[in-house]
Amino acid sequence: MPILGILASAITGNLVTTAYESIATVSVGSPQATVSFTSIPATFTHLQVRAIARDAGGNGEIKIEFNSNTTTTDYRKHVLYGDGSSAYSGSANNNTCSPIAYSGQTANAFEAIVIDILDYANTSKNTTIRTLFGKDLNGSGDVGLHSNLWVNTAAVSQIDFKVVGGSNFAQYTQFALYGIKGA
Amino acid sequence: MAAGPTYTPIATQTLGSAAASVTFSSISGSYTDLVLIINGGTTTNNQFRLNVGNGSIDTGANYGNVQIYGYSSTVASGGETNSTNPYLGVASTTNSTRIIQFMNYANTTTYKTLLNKGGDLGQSQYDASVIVWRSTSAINTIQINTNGGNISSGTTLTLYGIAAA
Repeated sequence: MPILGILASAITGNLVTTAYESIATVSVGSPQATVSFTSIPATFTHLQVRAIARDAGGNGEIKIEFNSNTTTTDYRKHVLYGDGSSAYSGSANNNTCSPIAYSGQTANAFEAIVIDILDYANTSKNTTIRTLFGKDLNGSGDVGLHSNLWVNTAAVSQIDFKVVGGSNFAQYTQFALYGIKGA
Repeated sequence: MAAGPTYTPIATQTLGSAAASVTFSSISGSYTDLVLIINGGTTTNNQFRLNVGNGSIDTGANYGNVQIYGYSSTVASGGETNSTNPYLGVASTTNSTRIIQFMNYANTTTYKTLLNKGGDLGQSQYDASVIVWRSTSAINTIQINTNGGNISSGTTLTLYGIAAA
């Protein structure tokens, strides 16, 4: 069974669709600081989060936390991205996983984000994720890939998304969590 | 907790002969996201491009994009402003693969943002890009085209719908 979404670069024909399930969705009605998925079942092989997001206030980033672990240095990241003029790469010991469109930018523009969380229930491996993100503001914007590592072998049962360096997730932000089964 | 299976095939088109474009129309608004997978190429070294719309294809200057791409040992970034036919990526007679994510395509409150990723061996390039359609209308029509040539015979385009809980 191939992994769906941004990992499925060579699929032809129709997929076995019963392997991909919607688990839960959070739609932001009024600005809120955190979007959480709790009590995530361990019955899937991989998770995927699909989101559109906007910051109601300042220019921040989105960070991801697993199992309420807020210790930033328990996370790692590498990033490759472009802004329409130049390409950049870098790394850091933190858990930011995507930029976010914010209130000072084009109205109605949202960051689009697809996150794959691989082997999330395996208790022998640190948890690895990767993210494809982007927004276009008609003359500026960003597109890129993040890889993140949570240096912990616990199964992931809770995921929290927070805005760091900004304020709150704006109205119409939506995060949807999906599970992908193995054979 | 799980709400049930999704990632539903909506339509597949396989070209029996080369064509200037492929269109998916009357797309249901009952999903949260759409995913379009392209496996194929073009009849000459060329580019895949795209238009979307509601009821008909929008060819106005209502698109923009930001790209990042690598070729040989170089990585670079570029973009288009006020585009009428935004760039997806290079294509050639060698098979290309491309996946386009249409995020929250049916909502009527936000601009529509697409995430696109693909590669082409013939032109030795791999890319990712974000495309915006500056409209709050729902997308129910998608057209894949090129910047002048034809899409190759045998190219397969499959559209999937993903419904959130």
